[in-house]
Amino acid sequence: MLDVWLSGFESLLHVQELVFLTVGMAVGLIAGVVPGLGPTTALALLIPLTYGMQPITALALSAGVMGAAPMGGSIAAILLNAPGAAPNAATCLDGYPLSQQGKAGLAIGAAASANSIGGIIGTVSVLLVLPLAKQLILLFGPPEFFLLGMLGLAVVASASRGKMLRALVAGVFGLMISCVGYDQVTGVVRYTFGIPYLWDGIHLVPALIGLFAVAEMINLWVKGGTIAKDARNVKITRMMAGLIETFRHWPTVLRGSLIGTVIGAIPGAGGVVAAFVSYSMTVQVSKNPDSFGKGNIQGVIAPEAAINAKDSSSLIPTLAFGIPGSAEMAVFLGILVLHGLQPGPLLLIQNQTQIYGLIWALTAACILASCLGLLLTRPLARVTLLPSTILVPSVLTVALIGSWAVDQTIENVIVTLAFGVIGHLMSRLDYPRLPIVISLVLGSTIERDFFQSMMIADGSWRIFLTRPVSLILLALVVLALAATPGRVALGWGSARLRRPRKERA
Amino acid sequence: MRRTGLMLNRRQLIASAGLIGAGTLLGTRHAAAAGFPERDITFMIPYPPGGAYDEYVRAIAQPMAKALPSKVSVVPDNVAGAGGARAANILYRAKPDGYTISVLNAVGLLLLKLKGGTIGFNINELTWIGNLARDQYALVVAEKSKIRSIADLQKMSRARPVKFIAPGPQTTSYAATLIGTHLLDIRKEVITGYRGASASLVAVMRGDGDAAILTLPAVSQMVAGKLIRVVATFEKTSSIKGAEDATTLNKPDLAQIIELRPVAGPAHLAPDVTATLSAALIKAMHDPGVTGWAQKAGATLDPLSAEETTRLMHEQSAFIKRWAGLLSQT
Repeated sequence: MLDVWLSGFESLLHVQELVFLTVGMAVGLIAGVVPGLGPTTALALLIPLTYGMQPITALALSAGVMGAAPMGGSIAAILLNAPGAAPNAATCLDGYPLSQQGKAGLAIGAAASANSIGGIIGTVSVLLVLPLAKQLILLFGPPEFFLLGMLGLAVVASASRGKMLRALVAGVFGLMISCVGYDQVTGVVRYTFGIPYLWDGIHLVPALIGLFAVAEMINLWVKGGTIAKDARNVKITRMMAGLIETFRHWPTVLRGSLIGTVIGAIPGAGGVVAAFVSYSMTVQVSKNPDSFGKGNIQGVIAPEAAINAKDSSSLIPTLAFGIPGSAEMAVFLGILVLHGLQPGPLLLIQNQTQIYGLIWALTAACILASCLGLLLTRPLARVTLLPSTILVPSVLTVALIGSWAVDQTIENVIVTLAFGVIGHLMSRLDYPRLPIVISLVLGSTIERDFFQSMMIADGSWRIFLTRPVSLILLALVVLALAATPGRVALGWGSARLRRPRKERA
Repeated sequence: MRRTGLMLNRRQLIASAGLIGAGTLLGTRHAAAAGFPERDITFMIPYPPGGAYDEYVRAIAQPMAKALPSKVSVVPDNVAGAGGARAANILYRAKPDGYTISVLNAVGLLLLKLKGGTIGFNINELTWIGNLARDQYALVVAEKSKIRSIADLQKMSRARPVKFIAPGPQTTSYAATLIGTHLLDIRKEVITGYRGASASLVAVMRGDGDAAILTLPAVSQMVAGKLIRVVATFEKTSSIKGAEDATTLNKPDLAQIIELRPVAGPAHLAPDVTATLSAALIKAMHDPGVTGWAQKAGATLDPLSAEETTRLMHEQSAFIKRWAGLLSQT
């Protein structure tokens, strides 16, 4: 085993591979920063460039893009509240408030280190798990996917302490929107009003750009001023402090990385689920959950660790069975096939050197992109000092172009603007945006997996109780739902005990 | 007025103007065909990057450009949406000048039209240029399954419906499952919604269902890896050793269940332009780079002329129409 890992590493140590890895990294970083562009579009644009390349060179280029894009997305999320890719939306929740407090450097430093550590943990997991890929993937079927989705919803609901009712309203709204479009089980087209664009439902990336970037720009325009509330407090020199914060909160990093690794290995779960579940679980276990959403550094570390860990482990279903877990992996799958690397069980036997070379390239890109991101932090953080009259039109232009660029339809721009207004209103009325995002992502898959489970089990609910993994997930769902009322009851109980005896009576 | 040799009466004037106009038009079209192509050609792909259609087009784009009479590029353009209907609608409305062509999931579009989907025209109005691939179907089970033959499935279906795994209801695999099980007299229940052939095969391996009907290229890797076993193919003569086929099962109609990847241009494309594109497409599919890629990727190439593709598409339309009643019951 070790010799295969090392031969994979050696295959990268050639000038051509290193050059293309660097090119991929640069492209990935830029693509990650521009909202709506992302690694999927960047990979698709690079496909023609890979013609005639050796497979390992094409893999190095692709790994550069995939490894670096999350860091670019983190920078955009932290500085502008504009998620570069869908998973980075979780980073916006605490990253942007940190920017507003003048702590952009701290946030970016923490994101960079969490990115790197998450990527390394993800890589180690992949190296260990890849030989067992088949058994792992076969453990998860529709009942398990359904309960995983329910766990995502339960964790998010219970993390919205103090705003439970508003979180539920937002969550239900997200579930309703997820019903729009073609139903994958019955083939019925729902709520499209004859509009062909809506056949595929509300597109996620334009909706997220609107909900976060556009909404925030509307807020900034209304309030005026700069992103950083007090320019005197903008500390661009606290990057090292950010790096140290990640190590200080090592349980958060470890938890996020493991969540990202597990969820990434499950085909179809995606980076958004990994990032938001990691974030929500961190809120749940925190001693100070009310500080999240207001600039808690752990709110940056948790999703960032999950996102990069997910990138490595999502290779498992892609390589082992040709099942891409995300749009990015689907494009990467195309690059593999174009270079004669047909995903499947034989790939892992016949092309081990190239596959392990790819994994090392992904890890290297992740670490190097974090370093590059840190070097660029000082000039980039100055964006938070730009006046709204310059920043708002610039960011809106880039955001709307990015939204259009997702699949070159003007309807995406309309969706972005509509969700921008919704996001602004939610912000004004203090409704959390997290539940709407997770519902939008999980809604259609939860429905599909539930119906598939019922068809497999001939309508019997026992299917969720008789499978070991389902049972474990069901227990986690119950725990997640019981956590908040349990906490409230405990808090009430202990507050009552601390009061003097006369008052208690 | 005195008439000179050159003067024409009104009728002659109109007739001459008509002749000059027609001649100009024909001459322009001929000149256009003669100079065609003068700029890059857009080759639309109706699905996002990374899928099978995307792979085929990207593999042949450069060789096709080299095979054209002028030095231009063939530019793949992913136009995903509405299950392939978006690209088809754009193609239908495009100018018939040969600079916009598209690969189409023809059978998928026929099914969409059947169910009242977002196709506002008859796809046989398009100009068929050629075909990229023709794949036949296979009925597969998990390697460890006790099912060894179609007779086993028929016997099972007398006790309970056989559970077939299939991708979404407007995929060609779903249609193949409905028609194939009907022809084979297998009482079935279809569990749908799986994202693509790979996910469907994993579902069969996992035991979500008993069997699946998918294209031969889609199952080849898993068969080679001994994770999936082919019970029967819908070919006239099975290419898989030990598997039954349409002939041994005495069901010749099974061989008509195919997945095509035809390439089309807008309606009323000039015959010369169609011929130029068709010749370039066929030459590209014989390019050693393309055949090498197809062999490694397990892809099947089926270079057909424009006429052959048109005939095949009409046959497929008639076949789907024949089964309209069954396919509408979802």
